Amino acid sequence: MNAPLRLLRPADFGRGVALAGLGVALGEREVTNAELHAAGGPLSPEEIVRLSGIEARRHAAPGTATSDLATRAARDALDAAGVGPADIDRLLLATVSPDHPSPSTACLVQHALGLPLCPAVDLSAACAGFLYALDAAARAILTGDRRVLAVAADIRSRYLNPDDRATSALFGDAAGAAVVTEGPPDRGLLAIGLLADGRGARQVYVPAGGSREPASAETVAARRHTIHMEAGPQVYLTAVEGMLGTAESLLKQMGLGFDDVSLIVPHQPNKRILDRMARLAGVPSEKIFVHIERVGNLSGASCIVALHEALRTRRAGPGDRVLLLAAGAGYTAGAALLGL
Amino acid sequence: MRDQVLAVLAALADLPPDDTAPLALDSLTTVQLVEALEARFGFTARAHEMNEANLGTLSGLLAWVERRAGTRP
Repeated sequence: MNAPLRLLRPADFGRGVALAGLGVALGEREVTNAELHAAGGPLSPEEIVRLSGIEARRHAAPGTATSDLATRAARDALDAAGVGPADIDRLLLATVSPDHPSPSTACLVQHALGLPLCPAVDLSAACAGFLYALDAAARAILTGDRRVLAVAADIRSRYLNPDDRATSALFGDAAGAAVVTEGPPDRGLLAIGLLADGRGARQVYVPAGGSREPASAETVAARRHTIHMEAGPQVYLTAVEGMLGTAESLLKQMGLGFDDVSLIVPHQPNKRILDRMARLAGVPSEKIFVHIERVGNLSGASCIVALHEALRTRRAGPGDRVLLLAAGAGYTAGAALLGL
Repeated sequence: MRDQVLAVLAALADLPPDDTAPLALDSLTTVQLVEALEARFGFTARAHEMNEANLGTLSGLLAWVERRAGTRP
């Protein structure tokens, strides 16, 4: 998954795109490694930490669906931006765990928020979901929208096979949202690039419940409605190569290097992947924001939740350049450079 | 090199009965094995190398490490 990115740079249009307010909603329940193991999970608490860096993850409470987390995060983002639902021109919601196969979760959130009858649509880009939503939001701003909600929300805990060593302990649930607006051209979203490589489409996927393999008693009995990672080592290395490759392509085109970036905020699939990325990029580990130990792999919401936490804990602030990175099932990948 | 590869493998899993028997490692163990071999032999594995030919048997594993040893991309 190594190809030069085609970048969107708002400055090329003499414009700027800002992230005017961010919001986050984590799954309500903290689930520790000990709890997973006591419930019959295949890995010991120590193995989970050693293999992934995760000590606990957040799971949605029974009765909470993806649209609920997305709505909470979006409300917080609106509050942070100082705007109301009536000010929104478009809702983009990235998810691979919709409330229902149909209709879109975006329509549910549009109604729950009380948005105008604006366009509302789901995007499916797995763990690169937020970057895909941000890219589309930026394009909407550059073509005339005033304020766009870019949301990423996933409840992957409901797609897990509890007996699967490779996946059962990794995932947490969360939503993150950003109100995207026009802004000054030298700050905010400086550049963003995305890619997809469908050769990896079935390396990590949920096989059944769609048109290729409709849901049935047999597919449920065989747990084909859960996440299958057919080639874990390939997925592991592809995640690193995808994030590093997009980072290097974006930075090179912007005339920058890793030294010019204050903080790297990557999708958090596994701490060993982030450690590997730091080593191969030749950057100190402190330059990479890591918080997977308490929240797990948050799938499409991972990037935006990590960014929100990095800002909240002042790991980055005014004047800093922050590099968002993601790679996910599909395969999908992306990089975005922010000027704070 | 064979003894060193076997030592790395033995620290993570039972050794196969012969060079052509399936290694039969799960994905978590395979990742640990690959990273341990990278550190021991000074190379960086690539995603496209994670396949049956290189990781399916001891003979395949030995051949892969021999090709890659000391060759950082």
